[in-house]
This record gives sequence, C-alpha cells and structure tokens, in this order.
Amino acid sequence: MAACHVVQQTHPYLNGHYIALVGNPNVGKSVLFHRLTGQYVMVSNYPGTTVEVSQGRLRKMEGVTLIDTPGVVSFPSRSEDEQVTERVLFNNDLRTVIQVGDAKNLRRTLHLTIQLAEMGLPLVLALNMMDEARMRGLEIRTEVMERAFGIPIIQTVATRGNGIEEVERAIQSARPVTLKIQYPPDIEQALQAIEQMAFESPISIRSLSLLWLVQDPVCEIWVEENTANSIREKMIEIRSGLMEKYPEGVDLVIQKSREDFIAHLVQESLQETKSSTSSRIHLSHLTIHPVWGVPILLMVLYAMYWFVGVFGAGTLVGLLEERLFGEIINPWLIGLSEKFIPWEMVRNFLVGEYGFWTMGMTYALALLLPIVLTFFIAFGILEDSGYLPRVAVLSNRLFSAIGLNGQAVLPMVLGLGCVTMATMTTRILNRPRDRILVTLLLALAVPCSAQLGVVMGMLAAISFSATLIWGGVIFLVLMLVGWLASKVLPGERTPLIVELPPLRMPVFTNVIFKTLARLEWYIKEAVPLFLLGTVILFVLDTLHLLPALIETLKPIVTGWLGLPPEAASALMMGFLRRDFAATGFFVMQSQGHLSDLQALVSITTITLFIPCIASVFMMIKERGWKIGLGMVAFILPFSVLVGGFLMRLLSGLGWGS
Amino acid sequence: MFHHRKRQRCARGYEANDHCLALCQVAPGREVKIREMERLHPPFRRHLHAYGLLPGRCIRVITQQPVTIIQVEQMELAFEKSVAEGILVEPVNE
Ligand SMILES: Nc1nc2c(ncn2[C@@H]2O[C@H](COP(=O)(O)OP(=O)(O)OP(=O)(O)O)[C@@H](O)[C@H]2O)c(=O)[nH]1
Repeated sequence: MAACHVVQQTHPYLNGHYIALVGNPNVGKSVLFHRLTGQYVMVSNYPGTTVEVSQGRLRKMEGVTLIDTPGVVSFPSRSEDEQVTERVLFNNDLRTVIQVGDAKNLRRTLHLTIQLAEMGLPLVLALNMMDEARMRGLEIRTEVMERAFGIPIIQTVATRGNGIEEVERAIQSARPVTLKIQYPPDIEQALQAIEQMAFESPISIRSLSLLWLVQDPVCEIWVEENTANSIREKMIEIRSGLMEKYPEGVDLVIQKSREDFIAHLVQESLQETKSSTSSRIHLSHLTIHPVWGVPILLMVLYAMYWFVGVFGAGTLVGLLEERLFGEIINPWLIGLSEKFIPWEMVRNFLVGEYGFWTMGMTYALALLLPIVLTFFIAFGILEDSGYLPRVAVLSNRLFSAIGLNGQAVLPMVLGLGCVTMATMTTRILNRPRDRILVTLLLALAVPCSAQLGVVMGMLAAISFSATLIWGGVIFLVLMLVGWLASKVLPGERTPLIVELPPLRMPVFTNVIFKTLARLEWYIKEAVPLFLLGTVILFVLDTLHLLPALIETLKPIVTGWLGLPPEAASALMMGFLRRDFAATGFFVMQSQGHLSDLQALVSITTITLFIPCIASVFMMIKERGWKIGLGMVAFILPFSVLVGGFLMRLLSGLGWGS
Repeated sequence: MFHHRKRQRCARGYEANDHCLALCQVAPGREVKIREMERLHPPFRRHLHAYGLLPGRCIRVITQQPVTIIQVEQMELAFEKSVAEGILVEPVNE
C-alpha cells in the first residue's frame, strides 16, 4: 500500500490506461508525440531507471495517457533504453500500441511490426517520413500489408502534420491483432509446449515464448518473477534443447522466417523508381569524406566555439554579469541590506565576499547560465541534424588509440557542456569497460563550458603560445592516461558499429524542447550545489578556518606549483567546482598577482582537477563507490603533479620570462 | 599487384574467389548480396542483424574509408574494417 502511494506521487500518469508510441530510433516518435498530445507534457525518469520518458494526455481521447518510449532497434533488447520500452509493453495497463515506422526503411519497420503484432495488443502503424520516401522514388501501397497483419497502416509526415487525424481515428477503432507467422517445426513445437503450460502473461504467450527463446533480458526477469519454479525449469529445458540444435543461434532462425514473410510483402507493396540523388545526400557523404570531413568538422567546431565561447561566454555574460548584476542588481541589493539589515553577519552572508547572492547566485545565474544555455542549444542543433554519428566515424581512429571507439566522442563532446551530465550519458556505451574509461577521461581532462569560458579568457590575456601549450598538455594527458588505462582494464576494444541518419534541417521546436529539459535538469542539480558551496566557504571564512586550511595547502601551492600563497584559497574552492578555482585565478591574474607562467600553470592544473562535487556524486552513482572514489584519489594528486612538472619544464626553457 | 596484396590482408581466413568475397574487399558503389556472417563475434552479428543485415539481403557499399559504410534499404550503417572482414558477400548482377 505504502509503496503504491510513492509510485502514485512521482509518476501519476503511469497509473491508469495508456497508449505507447514505439519505434526504431529517429523515426519521428517525438514529433508525432507532440502532435498527438496537448500541452501538458511530463518528462520523468522511468521508475527504477535513469531513462527519460515523456507522457502527455491525448488530445482526442479523454483520460488516456500517451507515452513516448525510447527507440528500439529490435528485441531482444540490448540496452537499458530498449529495456524500458519493453517494460512499457509488458505492463498490464497498456491498451494500444502505435508503432512509428520509417517508410523508407520498410523491411526494418516491418520486422518490429511483426514482433509487436505477435504480442496481441491493438496495434496501429504510422508509416512516417513519407516525404523522404517519395523523394527517394519509393511508392508504398498499404492494403496488402494491412490485410497480412490485420492492422490499420497510415502514411504520415509528422513534421507537417499529415495523417495525424487518421492516426487518431485509427487508435479509437484498433482491435487486438492475432498475427501468427510459421516458424520451423521444432521452434513451433517449443512454442506449443510453452503455451500448454498455460500461465497468465501481459503479452500473448506465443510472443513471450519467442522472446524467451532468444534470451531476452526483460522476459527473463518477468518469467523469474511471475511463474512457478517448475514452469521455469521446463522452459529452460526447452530452450537449451533448441540452442543445441541451432548452434548458429535460435535468433537467426527466427529472424529468417520473419525475413521471408516480409520479403513477399515488400515485393507486393513497394515500388521503386530511380530518383536523382539530392544535394543533401552529396553533403552527407562529404561530411565523412577522409579529406573533406575534417575541414567540415573544424568549421562546425568553430561555429560552436563562436556561439558558445564568444557570444555566450563573452557577450551574454558581459551583459548579465557586468551590467545587470554588477551595476544594477547587486549594488541595489547591497544598499538595501545596509539600510534594513542591522546585523553584519547576516549582511555578509547575503551580500558579502562569499555572499549567498553576490557570489552564489550571481555566479550561477549571470556567469554559468548563459554559457550552459548556448552550449545546450548548439548541442541540440547538432543532435537534431544527424551530424553527431558522423563525428563518431571521423574520430574513430583517434579513439581507437586509447582503446575506445568513435562512439565515445558523444559523451566527450557533451562533457564540454557539463561533465556531470556527460557522465550520465556514458550509458549509451555498450560495455562497462568503455564506460569506466570515458568516465575517467571526462573527469580528468575534459573542461566543462563554465570552466572553458574562464580558461579561454585567461589564455587570451597571456598569449597564443600559452593556448597551444595548455591544449597540448591536456591532449597529451588525455591520450596517455587513456592509453595506459585501456591497457590496465580487462576486456577488449569494441569495434564501431553506428547508424548514420540522413542529414536534416534541425526542427526549432525539437531543439528548444530538448534544451529546456536539459536546462531544467541543470538548474535543479547544479545551482543548489553552487549555493551549498558558497555557504561552506562563508562558514569557513566566518569561523576563520579558511586561513588554516589554506595554510596547509601552501607548501604544495608555493613550493611545488610555484604560485603566490593567495592562490591556495582559489585552489580550495576547486574542491567544490574547478571553475570556482579558475575564476579565483582569473581575478588574481587580472589584478596582476600572477605572472604569465604562473597563470598558465594554474589553469593547466585546475583543468585536470576533479570537475565538481556534483560530478563526483554522479561518478559514484554510475560507477559505484570504489571506482568513483578511486578516480578522485588518482585525479587530485595527478593534476598537481602535472602542474608542478610543467612549471619546472617551462621555467627551465625560459618560457614567459 | 597492390590489389592482390590488399585482398590477402583483409580476407582473414575466407577463401576469396570470384563468387564470394569479404565485404571489405568490395569496391565503393557496388551492390552485393550477403552470404554469411557466422565468423563475426555473436554480439556484433546480432547487432547487425537487428539493423537488417541478414543473409540474403542486398546491400550497397558507399565507401571503405575511413570506415566501411554500406546502405541497406535507405539506411546507412558505418562499421570498422574488422567487422567488414567477417561478412561474406557475393556480387549481384547489376
Ligand atoms: N522529413 C521528415 N522528417 C521528420 C518526419 N518526422 C520526424 N522527422 C525528423 O526526424 C528527426 C527525428 O525525429 P524525432 O521525433 O526526434 O525521432 P524519435 O523517433 O523520437 O527519435 P528517438 O527518440 O531518438 O528514438 C527529427 O529531426 C525530425 O524533425 C517526417 O515525417 N518527415
């Protein structure tokens, strides 16, 4: 009972009847979702996972919830995302399934249609992206397929709203389907044997058995939790028998039967006329061209740097921090508190040197928010355009040197926005080994946007050669640590296998929606930590503990790193967020307390420092206590070590003097 | 001569002849039919099956550089040479 209430509070929609949108990745589910639902959309983690699902009320049906599930390539599910979709399908309250399919990849769409139709729920197929299919000279007739599957099939162009009303009507009249494909005799026998055990199941027993035979993980758990031991043992026996008979894999045999079923349907339904290749297809090949791909990538990176670094970190931050906060809001608040707050302590807490407002909020809202916002917009545009997988292809060789594949570039680039969030997205990597490696490299050597803004400002004030040295050291550390770690960690490197979606014009609403969701997450997770950090600093300062702590750090700061003693207090702040420390150094530099060499050493050290408290929590959450704290224990001394060596090397060479 | 050497390095265990060859040996632009993929490590094989790379399917090679990129239906799939080595194909008459 109590547990029930908790679920109700955090996921009110998941109770009651609902309809699910299911489909391959990138086929337009989210666009269709927004067309079918009204404005009340809720994005939340699926119970027990970190995978986000959006839910909303259907416009045309009272009291029914529509769920937008993560894309599935096919079942058996291989990633956590796919497992969430499967768990939605296994839920007793699911009433109808809408499959969204890519019309230009009919075979692939129909493979999933078979699996969904076998489950026995009412099913509607929206064949989306009809515009792209026509552009490529594909004509599709749906009648034969509708009859073969016993489901309504509607051709749609979600982005233009074509076919939406037909989908809405089809949902209301959809009936349970009973598709039965003929598999080879011994598989049919196995299916019948399981069906005869007659247990209750949320999807048809035949489809459950098929998933069982191919060792689907969600099905495995369901059977373990919901059937008697005797039944389960018999099911295991049946499966092992088949696996011995088909050493090439039961999954392949089942897939071949489905492929035959589809081949005949496609022949009847699909007409191909030769079309002229459009300029977009040419561009899409240029982006991965061994020669042209690199300049295009550099141009994209430069555009991003301009938007985030120059416009976001420069123009917007200037407007907000210096003008709005520095000249208007903060002086006004300071004046106000001097007038109305008689206690000095409280005044200091709010608007003092380590003030809740003057340091914490100003920092979070005026300095970081514009940078993070512009970064998320840029990343959303790249994501929606289909360019990111091409970056994975281009960078594959580089990452293979450190025992990874090009897919690791996605969390790494996201890390330039926010390392904490990027650590969470290491989930997209298939293997634990890759996730550990990327988590370590993210924490060690990828500066986040907040820090990059400050670092770039400092480097610009020194010289171009300083920028090169800084970049070189970070890159070298990244490659060296990556290479060493990949040798130490057990397991082999996974080769790159990635789908390249067509390049598309990004859709404005899609980008905005994603940016807002990320921003909300950022404000909820990061801003409280800034404030907490400020409070800790204030308490330490008020109790006069800060000087003592700084005193203990001094030998390292002055002796090893060769920085002035005041730099210790900046480094202290680095334990909360390394960009706090970077800002501290920035202030020292602009007041002339740091020589060029000292500035360069300080920013190199702080770039390699642990990112922030939030990221440490995330590392521990995703990788566990041992690995998370182990990484911190490595990174802290290592970054200081590198800084000290750099100082000795550069001063030995006479750099900057 | 050069072509021959490349073929040997890439084929790894497959007897390359006129009727069937490893996918990594196919020139860009050509269309081929998948014959078997059993040499592939099972998780990678299943991954490719899920995308529709099944024995009997026709695919077109788009490029072999920097990685192998093929087109199956209207979808493009990129994978490394080590994967392409494990896929045996035969030419189709164009
Ligand atoms: N040309 C065309 N593009 C479409 C259509 N529907 C969606 N798109 C585009 O396809 C891309 C993917 O759409 P999404 O709605 O994000 O796809 P999704 O299925 O939700 O993707 P995942 O959640 O990643 O699985 C976006 O750039 C859309 O603008 C369509 O009917 N025609």
